[in-house]
Amino acid sequence: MTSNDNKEISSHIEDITKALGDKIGKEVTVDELEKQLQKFLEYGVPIQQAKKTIIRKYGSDTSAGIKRKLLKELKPSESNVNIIGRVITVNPKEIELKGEKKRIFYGMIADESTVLPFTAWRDFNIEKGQVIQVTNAYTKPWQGIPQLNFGEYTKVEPSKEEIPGTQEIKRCKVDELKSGLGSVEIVAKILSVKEKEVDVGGKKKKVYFGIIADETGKAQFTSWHDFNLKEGEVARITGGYVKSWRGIPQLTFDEKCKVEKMSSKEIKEVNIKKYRLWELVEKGGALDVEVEGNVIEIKDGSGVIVRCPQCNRVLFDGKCKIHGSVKGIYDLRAKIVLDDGTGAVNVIINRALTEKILDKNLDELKKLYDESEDKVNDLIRDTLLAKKIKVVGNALRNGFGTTILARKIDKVEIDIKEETKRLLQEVREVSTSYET
Amino acid sequence: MRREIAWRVFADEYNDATLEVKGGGEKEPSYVITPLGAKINRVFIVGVLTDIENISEEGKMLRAHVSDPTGVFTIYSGKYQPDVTKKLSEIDTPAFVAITGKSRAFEPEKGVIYVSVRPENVCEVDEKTRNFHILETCKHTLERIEAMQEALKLSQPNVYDLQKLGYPKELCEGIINAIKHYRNIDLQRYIDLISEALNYLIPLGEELPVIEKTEMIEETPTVNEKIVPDEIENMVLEIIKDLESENGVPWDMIIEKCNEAGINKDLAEEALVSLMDKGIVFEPSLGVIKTT
Ligand SMILES: [Zn+2]
Repeated sequence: MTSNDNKEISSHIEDITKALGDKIGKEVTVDELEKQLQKFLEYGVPIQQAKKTIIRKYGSDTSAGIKRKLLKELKPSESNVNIIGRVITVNPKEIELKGEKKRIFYGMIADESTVLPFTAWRDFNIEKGQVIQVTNAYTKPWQGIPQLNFGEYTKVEPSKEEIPGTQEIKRCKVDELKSGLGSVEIVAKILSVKEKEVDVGGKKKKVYFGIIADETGKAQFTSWHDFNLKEGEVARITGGYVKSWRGIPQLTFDEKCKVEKMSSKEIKEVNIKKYRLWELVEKGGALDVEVEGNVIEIKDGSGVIVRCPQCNRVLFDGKCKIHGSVKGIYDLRAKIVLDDGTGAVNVIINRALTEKILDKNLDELKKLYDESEDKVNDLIRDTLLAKKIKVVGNALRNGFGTTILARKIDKVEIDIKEETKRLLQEVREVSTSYET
Repeated sequence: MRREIAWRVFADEYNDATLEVKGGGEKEPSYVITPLGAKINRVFIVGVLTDIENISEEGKMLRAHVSDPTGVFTIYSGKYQPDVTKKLSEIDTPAFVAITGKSRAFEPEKGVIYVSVRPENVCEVDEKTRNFHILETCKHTLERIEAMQEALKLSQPNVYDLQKLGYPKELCEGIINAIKHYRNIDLQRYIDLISEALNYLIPLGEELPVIEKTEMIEETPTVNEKIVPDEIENMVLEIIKDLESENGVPWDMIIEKCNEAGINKDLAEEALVSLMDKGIVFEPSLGVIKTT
C-alpha cells in the first residue's frame, strides 16, 4: 500500500479542488466532487486514476461540452451515450438482417472503470488496442450488464486520450483476477487444457480453455491462439483481460498477448483459496474455494426427493406434473445456508456427500422417508443445523447470491481449552494497547 | 438481494444497543446498531434457554430467555412463526439451544429502546457447541473492538477508509453509524466482557477431553460433482442444440426454455455448469453458450 492509499478522502478532495480552481462552485460543488470520488472508489478505481478522471471531466473544455461517462456508470437502457475507451477485442460477424446479409462487429471496450461488450452495427474501422471516442451510442441490457451499441447515428473517432489503467500491465495473482481487469500479467500453472473448434464470423477457429492456478487459487482461462500450453506447465501470460462467468473469473488472451513458458519451480504449490464469506460474496464466485461457517438454515427441497423416471421432475404426492402417477426414482440432497458472521452463502450438498454426513445410504433413508417425510429432514437438521463445517467446492454467483456446490465437507472442531488460552492472551494484548 | 448476515454478538452488547436504523420501504431491512458497530438484522446465538412463558391467552405468543456468559437475550415467538413457536414450546428448560433470528427493537418512548430476537430457527445443541460459540463470539467481538479503534484513529471516520483496512463492509457501515450515535464508547468495558466470557470457559475447559482435530468426510472420486442427474443435463443439452445457431445461444434464452420445460433456474444453471465442466458446451463469448 502506498502512502497515497492511506491518505484520507478529504485530502484527495483538496487536491482536486486545487486543480480545478475557479470551476468549483460554478460547474461542480465540493459535495458533488466528494460523492463522485466515493463512487469511483467504491467501484475499485485506484485513487490516482479517479482523481485524474474527475479533474479531466471538469477541468478541460474540450469535446464541446459533451459530458463523458464512465463505462461503469452506464445503465442497461440508455441513449445518447458518450464514452472514451480502449478497444480490447473486436471481431467481425456475418448476420442476416431482414433477409439481407450484414457484417457487424462485436468486442470488448475498457476504460478506467470497467470493461463492457459492444456491438458495432456498421464498419467504423475499429481496431484492437485503439482508444476511441464514441458519441451518441446507446446501451441494451445483456446478461444484466449494459451492452454498448454503435448504430447509424453514432460517431466513432480515434482519440489521443490516455486511458489510465487500460494499458499498463498489471501483475496479479490468481485470486486478484476479477471481471473487468484488462492488461494483466500472471504467472500460473496450467492445471488442465482442452481445445475446441468454434465459429467466429463464419470462420472455424480453435480455442483453448482450461484451468490455471497459483498458490492463491484457481481460475478459468480461454486462449484464442495456440500457445501450445500443456498440462503441468508454468507460463507467464501478459496482456490478457478478465471476464467472469457466473462470478468465476476467466482470463482471456489471444495471439497479441505474450505467453512465455517458465520453469515449473516458479509455482511451488497450488492451493485452495480460503475465504471469509463476506470476501467470497463480494467477489461473487470462484473455482475451488474453502470456507467455514455455521449451518443456520436447512432449505426446502432438502432430504429425500422422488423424481419422475421420464423427465426427472420432482414428484408431488407421487405424481409428475406431466406424466401423472409414476413409479419414482429416489434421490437425496441437502441445501443449506452457511454463515460465518461476516457473510452467507447457499451450499448444495449432493447425494453422495449427504449420505456420508448422515452416515446412512439412500436405501436406509428411503425407508425412513416412507415412514414419514419429516424423519429424513429431522435427521438432516439434527446432524447439520447450528454445526460449524468446512466446505470445499466451486462458488457460483446467481440471482440469489453465491452458491457453493460442495465437493468436500468436514466438521470443524477445535480444542476449546487451547483456543480459550490463546484468545485470553490476545485480549490482554488488545487491552494493554488500548490503555496506552 | 444480498442475504442478511447472522451476527455473533453477546447478549450484553446487544442489549446495550439504543440505535435502530429503519429501512425506508416495506421491504427494506431494519437494523439494530450496537455500540461496537454490529449492524444487526439477523443474529445467531447459542446459549442456555432458561425459561419460556405464554404471554397471550391462546398460547400463540411465547417469551423466552437465552442466557450467555454476559447477559440474557429476550426472545419473542408468535403465530407468524408457528413451526419455531411449536419447537420452542417443546423444549424442556434449561437446555442448550442455537437460535437464528431477526433483530427487533421496541421504543416505548424516545431514547428508550428494548431489543429482542424473533426466532427463524431453533434447535437444541450440546455443551461443546455452546462453548465453541462463546469462542467464536469472542473473536467477532474482538474484531469489532479493533475495527472501532482503527475508525476512531481516523480524523474523519468514514466507511471507505475503514474498509481499506480489510474489514467487512457491513461492519464498517455499522461502526460509522455507531460512532455518530453513541458518545464516548467505552471499549474497555467490552474488552472486559470478552475476558469474562473466556474465564467462564476456563474451569469448563479443564474438564474437557482433548477433541480430535477434524473428522474428514470426503466424497469418493467416482461420483465426483454429480450434482445434477444426467437426465436433466441431457434435457438442457437438447434445449441448447435446439436453439443454437452457428454462433451459439444466449444464456437467458436457455434458462427461459428450460423453465418452460419445467427445469427451474437453479437446476438449469447447475446443469449448464456441469456441461461446461465436462466440455460438452462452452462459452464462445460473454453470456453465449455453444455446444462443442
Ligand atoms: Zn415426468
